[in-house]
Amino acid sequence: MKLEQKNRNNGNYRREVPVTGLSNSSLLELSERMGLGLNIEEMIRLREYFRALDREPTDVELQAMAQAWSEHCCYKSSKFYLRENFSGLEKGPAILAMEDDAGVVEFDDTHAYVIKMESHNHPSAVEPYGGAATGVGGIIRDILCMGGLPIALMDSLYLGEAWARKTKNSLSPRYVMNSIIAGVRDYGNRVGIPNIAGSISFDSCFNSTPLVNAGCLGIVRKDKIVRSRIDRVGDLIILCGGRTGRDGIHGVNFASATLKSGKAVPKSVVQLGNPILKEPLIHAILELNDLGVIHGMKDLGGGGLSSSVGEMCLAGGVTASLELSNVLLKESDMEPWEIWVSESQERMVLSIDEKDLQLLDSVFKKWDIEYSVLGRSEPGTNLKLYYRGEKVFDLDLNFVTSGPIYCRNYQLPEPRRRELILPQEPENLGDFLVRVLSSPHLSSRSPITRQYDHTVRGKTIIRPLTGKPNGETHSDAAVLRPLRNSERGIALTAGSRYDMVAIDPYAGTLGTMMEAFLNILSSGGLPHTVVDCLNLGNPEEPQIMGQLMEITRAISEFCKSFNLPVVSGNVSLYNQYGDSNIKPVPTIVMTGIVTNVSNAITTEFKSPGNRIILIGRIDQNLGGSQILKILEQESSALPWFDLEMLHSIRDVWPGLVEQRLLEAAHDVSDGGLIQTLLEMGFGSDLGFDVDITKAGRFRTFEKLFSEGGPAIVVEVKPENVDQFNRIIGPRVPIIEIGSVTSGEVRVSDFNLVRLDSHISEFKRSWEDGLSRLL
Amino acid sequence: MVMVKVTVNYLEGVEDPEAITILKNLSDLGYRDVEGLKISKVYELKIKGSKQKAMKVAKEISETILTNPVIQEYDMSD
Repeated sequence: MKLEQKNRNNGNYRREVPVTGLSNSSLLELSERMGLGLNIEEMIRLREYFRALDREPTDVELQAMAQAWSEHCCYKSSKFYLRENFSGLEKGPAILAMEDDAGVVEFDDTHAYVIKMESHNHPSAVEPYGGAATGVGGIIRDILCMGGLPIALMDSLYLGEAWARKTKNSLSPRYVMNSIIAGVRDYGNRVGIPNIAGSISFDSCFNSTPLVNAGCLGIVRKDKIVRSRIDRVGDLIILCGGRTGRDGIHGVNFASATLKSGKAVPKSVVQLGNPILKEPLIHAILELNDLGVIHGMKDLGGGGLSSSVGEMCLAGGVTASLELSNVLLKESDMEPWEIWVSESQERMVLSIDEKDLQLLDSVFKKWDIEYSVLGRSEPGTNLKLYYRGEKVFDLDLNFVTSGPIYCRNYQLPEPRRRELILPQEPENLGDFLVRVLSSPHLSSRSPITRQYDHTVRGKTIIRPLTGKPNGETHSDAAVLRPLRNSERGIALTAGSRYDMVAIDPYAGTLGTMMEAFLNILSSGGLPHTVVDCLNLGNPEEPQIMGQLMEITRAISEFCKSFNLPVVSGNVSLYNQYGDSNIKPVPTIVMTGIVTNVSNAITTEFKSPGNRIILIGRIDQNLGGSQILKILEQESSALPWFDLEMLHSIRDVWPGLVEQRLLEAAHDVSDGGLIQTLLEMGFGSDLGFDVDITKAGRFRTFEKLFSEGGPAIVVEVKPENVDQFNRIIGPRVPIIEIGSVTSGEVRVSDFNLVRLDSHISEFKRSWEDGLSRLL
Repeated sequence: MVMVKVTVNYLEGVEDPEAITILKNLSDLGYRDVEGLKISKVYELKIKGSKQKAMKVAKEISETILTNPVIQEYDMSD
């Protein structure tokens, strides 16, 4: 940036960049040279604006505009379609839905919970450890800035094939996997928040573009909710927490572009987290909030001060005048524009009344947190920035944040022929199962999730792993009891069935929503709210926009049908390496309310002799299933996801839970019915003897491995079966398929014994599947 | 056999939270004169064959396995 460095030491900090006289091609060149990441139309719009103002922009102004107009900050590609699909949704129990940094939802009379999930894909691709760790750190701040106490973390990781060889110019998938897991683990464990929900999956499309979706849940007293806005004139604007450095400059511009093979990534876009600093920051902020000092608060995420202060002022209808040389720096020689756009971690912006400054000072001193006063809020429209007294920025906030909204062309996926894939039935089902259970797609997640602390804070009722200590199985959803004096709980689940979404974005997303819904039910909860985190490829390609359309339409229709609000969301685009886009991944977080945590249900079988009942239906279609992925067979159509039936199940469910008729429950999803039964057995080393003849008039293979639904397997005590049947009533199909055994595993179909073995034959290969890769 | 020492450091400007925490604690413990602190990792590789060949192998390992060039740099000596 030679142009901008000319007058550096002359005490002249205002540096104008000539733009108004530039031709179109020189504009584009300038965008590239300054790392703005703006395209030609956007640059022309800038030029015209400054022509009208009759002056040249400063470097600070240009950098701030580039940041505000990036995909990451203004959602220019997705906003139009998000609005179209999400605007008609009911708010339901939500207090703030899609408004501030995180969704806020009523929990009980006095408290609300705060929830959000965000992607941190691009940083994790180039520096997996730091990228994943700061993903977790960033989402904690999103919860904190609403005044919420963070109480649980969740993460959905989409990793490359860790067993694949390293490709040239990108990190090896195995290294990336281990570093991402370590980043999530270290940050969460060190800051002392349990990581209790999420998903881990592997696909070759993530070999060079792994996805890290990190979520956080918090709890807040309703009268202590803080808005992300400055709405009082004369308030002091405070920056607190970490210092500002060159780490993370241009992060959002980078996140809004495609990763290219062979192109070195500048280190300045990668941020490193510091959980040891975050922990006291959480305490200090919550203490200040309890004292009633904080008027408005926002975390500094992508876009840094530039986007946080701008958005806060605009939301509150004020503006501000700030002195950038007051910002505490990591490196002394930073340029004003670098200070303004830096995305260094662990920072928050607060607005407070001047009379509270002393109180703020004493609290921050107690917790050993650094802070600085940047300036004051003012009436008017123009945000003014100074550096050592010299004005370096003076722009109308309405213009800065009026990023373009693209109504990009989209192309819906072509309807495919419904082909029924019928793989050969294995000769020996037992041997076949041992093989598929040890594949990374279906094996136990415990070698990874065991590295995360699940119980710190002492609020966890159902952990992600449940059953016999050191031999646990998977839970469907985790359950937390957030308040000490209340038995009310929150169930939490996150995941995506992207293999299905890749085949049919609409139906696959419905399948994802249905699985989340069933996970909440199986844990004894009733679904309450939805958070989405969409990860897609390059939006300039019409097929990708078509995926976005179909995915958001499915989320919206599902939520309308079940009266669920979508309370917060995130869209990550340009997840692409070279020319290949990732499979579309909508990660769905669903929360549920468990009215009394003592009614929460776990997945493992409890006692031999209990009856096993299949609620719902099994589909014949194997499309999009994990078994076809393991067998490397393509499929073209998805099973049917019966929403009507899901409604019927949901309606009778509270009766079953409240009367404690369900000893165990586990929904049928990845791996099909057989995986569900085996996982229920793994948790307590019990087996099952089932006859699946009535599950459908098709082959055993499809009955065991297809993943359509809705279907839940439950365990009921023999003496409770009559009562169970009464509550279920005539509308929900159920089949009593067998009973729990002390360890024998037997499956019969059409009077033939298809599997006769023991649970211990399968458990080892399921448990050790992933450890071989770590 | 040749012994090659590979020292891995963070690149200039990358913040090392571990170093910052130690520095802060030293200051709390009364060592106010300590102004900076840097943590490096040293790998000592014993490699068969000639020195030239060993350095080549060590360089390859350093670049592809021991460092992430986005945040780290290395220094090699025998």
